[in-house]
Amino acid sequence: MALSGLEIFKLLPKTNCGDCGVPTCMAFAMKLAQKKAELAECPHASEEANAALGAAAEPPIRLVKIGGANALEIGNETVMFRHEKTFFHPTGIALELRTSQGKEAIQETVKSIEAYVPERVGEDMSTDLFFLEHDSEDGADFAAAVEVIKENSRKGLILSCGDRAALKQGLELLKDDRPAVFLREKLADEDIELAQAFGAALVLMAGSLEDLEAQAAAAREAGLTDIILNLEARDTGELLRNNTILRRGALKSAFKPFGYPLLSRIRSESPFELLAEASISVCKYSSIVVLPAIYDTALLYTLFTLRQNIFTDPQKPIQVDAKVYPIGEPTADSPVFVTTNFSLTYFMVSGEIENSGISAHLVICDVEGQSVLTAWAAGKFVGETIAKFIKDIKLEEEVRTRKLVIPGFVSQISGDLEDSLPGWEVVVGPREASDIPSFIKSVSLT
Amino acid sequence: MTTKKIHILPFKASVEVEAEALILDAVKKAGLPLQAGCGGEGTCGECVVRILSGNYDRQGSAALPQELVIEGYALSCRTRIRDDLTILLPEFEELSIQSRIPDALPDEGSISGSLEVAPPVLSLELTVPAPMLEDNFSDLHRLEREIRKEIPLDTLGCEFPALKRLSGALREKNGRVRVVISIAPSGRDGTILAVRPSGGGERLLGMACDIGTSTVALHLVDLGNGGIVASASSLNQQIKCGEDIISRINYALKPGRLEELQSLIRGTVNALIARAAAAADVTAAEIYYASFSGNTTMLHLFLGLDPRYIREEPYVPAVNRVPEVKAGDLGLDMWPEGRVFLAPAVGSYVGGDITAGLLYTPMLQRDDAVSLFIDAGTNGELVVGNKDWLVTCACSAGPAFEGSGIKCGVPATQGAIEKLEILGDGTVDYATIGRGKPKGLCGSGLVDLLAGLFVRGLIDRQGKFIGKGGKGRLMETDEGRGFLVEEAAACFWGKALVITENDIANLIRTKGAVFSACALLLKNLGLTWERIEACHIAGGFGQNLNIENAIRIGLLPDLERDRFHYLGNSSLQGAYLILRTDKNKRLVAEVAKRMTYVELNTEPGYMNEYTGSLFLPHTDMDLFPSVRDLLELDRSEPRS
Repeated sequence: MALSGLEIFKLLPKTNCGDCGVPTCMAFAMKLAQKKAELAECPHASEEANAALGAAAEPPIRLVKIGGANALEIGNETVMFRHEKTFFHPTGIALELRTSQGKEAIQETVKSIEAYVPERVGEDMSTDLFFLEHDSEDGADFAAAVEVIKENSRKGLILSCGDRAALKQGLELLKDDRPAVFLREKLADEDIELAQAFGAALVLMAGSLEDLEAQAAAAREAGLTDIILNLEARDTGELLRNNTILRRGALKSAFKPFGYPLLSRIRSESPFELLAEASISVCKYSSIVVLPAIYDTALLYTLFTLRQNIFTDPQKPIQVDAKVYPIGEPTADSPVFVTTNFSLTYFMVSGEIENSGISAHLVICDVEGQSVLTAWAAGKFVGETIAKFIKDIKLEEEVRTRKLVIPGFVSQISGDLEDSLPGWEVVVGPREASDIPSFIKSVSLT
Repeated sequence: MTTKKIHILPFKASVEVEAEALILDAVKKAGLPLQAGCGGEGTCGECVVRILSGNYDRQGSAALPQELVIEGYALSCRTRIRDDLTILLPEFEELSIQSRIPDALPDEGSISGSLEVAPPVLSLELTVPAPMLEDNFSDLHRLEREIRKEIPLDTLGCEFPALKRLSGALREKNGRVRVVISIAPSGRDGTILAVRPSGGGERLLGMACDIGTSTVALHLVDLGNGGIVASASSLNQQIKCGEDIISRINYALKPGRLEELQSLIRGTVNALIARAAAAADVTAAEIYYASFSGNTTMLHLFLGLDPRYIREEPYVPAVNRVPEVKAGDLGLDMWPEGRVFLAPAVGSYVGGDITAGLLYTPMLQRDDAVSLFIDAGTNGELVVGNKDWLVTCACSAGPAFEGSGIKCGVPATQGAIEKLEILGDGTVDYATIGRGKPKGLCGSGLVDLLAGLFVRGLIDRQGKFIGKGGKGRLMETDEGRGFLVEEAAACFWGKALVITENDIANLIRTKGAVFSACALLLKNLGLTWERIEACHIAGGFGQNLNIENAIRIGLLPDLERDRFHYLGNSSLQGAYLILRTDKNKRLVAEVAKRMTYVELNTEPGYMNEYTGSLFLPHTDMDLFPSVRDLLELDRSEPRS
């Protein structure tokens, strides 16, 4: 269990010597608690502190990597809910491939998946892994399929094969690619040997929490570290329940056998149930979602979008680009509004100007994504900086308007802004965006 | 056109204006603060002054009751100057009543600072033998020889102005002189500040002063016995340049404005010195040492240091620990070579007011128990900890509890409602400071009012008026719905006291900022409220704070009531303790060094906590079980 700053403080020398680079022992303890520092930075830490902190420092959910270069990292999560801090590692989306499909079909799917990289708010979105299921008679099919995938893609692989000899052939081909092996049966000694020999992660599959705990404990006992848990669920409700129990066990009770990333295989037939189940997995704690062997870009795009939303860092404000945005079809004589580049601010202000039915220029200043008052308090949204931005973007060459509407919350900067922006008249707008339409009706803005 | 001279008290300011000019314009020209909310229309009654002498032409106004007219009050926006006038700005007149001076010193065990008297300056009565041919050492050498017989010192310096008077002083009373020496905190190094012939009867005085964003308060202290001889407080004159520190820093950005702000605070302090000195019948030149405390921004402005970088990331002040400065360098009305000490700051948003204030709590000497210190000023600060560790953070609370930004709010001075109760039958029972007619409510009165409105079911948990209760006291105003606290005829300014939903929202934001910062700080440390064994509250609420009501509105946590201790102006008391003995000066330096500052702005959970605190008492009623029980009990009683 993670120690609080106060608990760590009690283990430190309490001399406030500053040799760790932080002014007080308490400050250092709080950094340690937030995992923003290492105990080794304190030259005076005792043996006792090292032992206690070492035990507490083990992450509650193990970080596991799958794949060679650009490996997918999963696990290492620290909270139940995104708003408590953030979720660190986005769910890996894996597409199932079956040897029974034949080499050609597999190659075609892999190529289409490789080509499907849609962009959303400046970020490329794609699947992360392939899940290869051996379901044909011939053991040689398996290695052949691995070869085809490897030739056409650099994504990581999860291998599922009942025939250990065939599995071994497949693993031989992936020596430097850190694959994962999905166990169709209970963990056996041979599996552990194989995983250790090839540096592969093991996906433990179980039908009950007790079974899963026993297998995970055995794998830990054998010295395996790269473990992924797959607890089979009969329906979506059970999936949610299982995943919640496992995550709570790992985080709240520091129950080590459950301190590994989770994998869910989605098996529903109907596209809607499939999407529902996959969405639940993305939102609630699955680190890998394995989709059935259907290539459906509508489904993928939906999941990508959901994943992007869940795994953005809520601590970092979402920003829009600093520039002049046209609202409607503004001319050189349309009104000019100015506000900050916090995305919510932008969306609300632009939406309300649009609602008013007029066309206008909306100048968005870069304040590192802060809201109006926060940016003002930090000196980022003041007369000087706004005037500089307006000059830098040469707004005066684009518009003939010489009135600038500022947010009502920063009415106090109007004098400074006028001084810094000769020739312009500053108009103090309303405090709330929702009052923009009525404001526009009551004031002359050009 | 003839010009007339206007003397403005208590600032001792003079200004020349043309005859027939308005008094308001004269006051403005003098650069002194005087509010006129109605813009000089003669309707708000805020710009009232008291005319002490001279001829004037006063136009009548309904905003000023007749009994005040008789006493010489006039609306400055309605009164033209005929002759040279002496006027008094009444806000300052009334402020001479101190908001809270403890009658007796606290017990030694109840505070962390020492109560011994060992001040940083001392005065010695000496007889310096006259020079002779066999003893032809210089005047200074012979004086030093006598001083060193009395106190062992490694080094002994002499201020140049003292040196200039030395030879004369030594010969006037046959070598009998009185020497004032300042002793450095080491105790081994001294400097001669003044040499006078004996028998002048001067006293050795010091002053302690708290520079608050809104209010400045001062004690004049007899350094011989450590006793307080007079106290005074007034508004910080900088208030006309912005109510909070961010606005002041912003104001200081333009050329010349930093000097203006420095001159305003110097003027405020010097006016207080003059008033306190007059009250104690001493002269300002007898003050040889000054101990100041204040938040980091106020100390920057007092010293004339650029505060700009306090506000900008990564929020760095010019200085935290200021070396002792000479009073003359700051333009203070005291002995020019006297030393000025400023309590050290921890960072940009936790200043010397907090480090000094901690001396006035017992928390620095508690071994295991964890205490919480809350200074709910315009800039709110919190400290959690004990003897071993201290963690601190700041929150932008706003000046609501100091009476600013609330229409019916006033500072805790003469005429402020300091206690209030809404009775079961809807009538309002209250008490004012000085027992006169009310001018408004100070912080403690506002806390009582908010709690009363809430508990009596007149406002909901969001602070909105509900129902038609209140016996006709609920009313429509220009700013939405309001509650009539007292009707016009019974009020000092002849204007009704009404609290509106806007005011209530402002108070809720302020209390929410304080509570959520506390909650987040404790969470960061992995502490629960139950672990807080003592909670010390400072701030400009007034003489007393009703803890029960502060809990009902969610300003303070729902802990056993005997864990709370209201301190009043702990910053001033801390500065006073520092003045009493150098031991406290060393303690405050050590405290500042080991405080750990946490930046709340960067905490992801802050908005969450804050939003949860914007209700009465909180969205999570489980945090306030006693308030929940009270409300349930209330609901189960039949309403008449």
